[in-house]
Amino acid sequence: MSALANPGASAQAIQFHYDIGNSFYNLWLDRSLTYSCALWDGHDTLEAAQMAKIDHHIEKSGARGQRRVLDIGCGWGATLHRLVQTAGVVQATGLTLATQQSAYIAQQEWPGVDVRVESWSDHSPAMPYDAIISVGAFEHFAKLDQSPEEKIEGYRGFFRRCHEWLPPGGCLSLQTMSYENSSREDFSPFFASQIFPESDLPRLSEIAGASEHLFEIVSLRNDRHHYARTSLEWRRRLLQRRAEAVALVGAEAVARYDKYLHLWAIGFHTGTMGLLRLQLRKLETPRRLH
Amino acid sequence: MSTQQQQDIENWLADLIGEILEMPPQEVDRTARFDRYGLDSVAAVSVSVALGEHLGRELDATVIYDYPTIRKLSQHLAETAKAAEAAAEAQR
Repeated sequence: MSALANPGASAQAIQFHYDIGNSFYNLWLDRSLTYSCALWDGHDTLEAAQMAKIDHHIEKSGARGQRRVLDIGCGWGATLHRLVQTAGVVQATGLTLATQQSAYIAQQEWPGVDVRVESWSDHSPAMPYDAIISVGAFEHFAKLDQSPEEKIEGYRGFFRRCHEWLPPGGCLSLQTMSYENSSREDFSPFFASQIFPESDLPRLSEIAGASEHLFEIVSLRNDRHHYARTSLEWRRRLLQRRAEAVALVGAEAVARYDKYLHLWAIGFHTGTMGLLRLQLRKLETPRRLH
Repeated sequence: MSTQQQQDIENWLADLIGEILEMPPQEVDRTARFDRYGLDSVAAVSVSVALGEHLGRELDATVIYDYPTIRKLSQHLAETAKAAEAAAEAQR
């Protein structure tokens, strides 16, 4: 299988945000360093809500007890660790473009966990996967300067690859932020230049369109209020450790993160943005799209 | 019913909004929605941080969207002040 051109954020753009320093993220994320929306159903600590989110994706992807599972955009490896530690998975492979995340995972020496600094578009596994999870990465699979057609085609390339890697009936559990009561024109220049460069959000209709005739959507949740709560919890923790954070990354960066987390909470609270959790099942004999 | 504390918060917010909009505080309509004044999410963050510092308690900007006028927000904050003080005391 040949590599595709990566349609989304470059490695440099990803590293701009995620490689600011593991010690900095360690100050305000939960112990597992999970940097995506938690699942708060019946939980009142960030730690428990993040584990519930990871377990949700393990169940929805059908990963439990499988041999080979892929995590696209694996962060600091919390899901990979959970897969091999409690879900009985033999081999969990993670893809990230952030070198500090990869180094952190490699340092843990978790048996059965393998991490690669690689985009999904360059990934060429020797064997297929039994299940795929992707959480908080899809937001980096398109860029603001792409045409609507290019954006959909980039997403479709991603779904095509996942389709190729899964067995008949195999599932992809996907979590992503989305435009809801807003559109591309509302993407804040502050976020585009200072927080998440070279990134764009999908609309639900774009995900549905790009995965059509490759996957069927089995379940869908919009948990935007869960992300408002997660963002506010992260901000509260960051402010509690502000002095240490400033010593690590400087006052300007801390102010930037404080502002972004606060603005995010508003966006999810008011419904400007959504938080989608989708279970997609591979179609075995996809018809050609016309 | 309006308490003294609610009045104080209302006056402080009317001063702040008046300053942002460059208009006298007595002309700020305390029952108008914040978004009618053109206050966007960045302004909501600034207002919540400044108000939190003024009241000596941590405020999330989302509260501005749940109580979207000066009057409603002041009433809510006055009503919850005691609980917030008790929580702050418990954290000490």
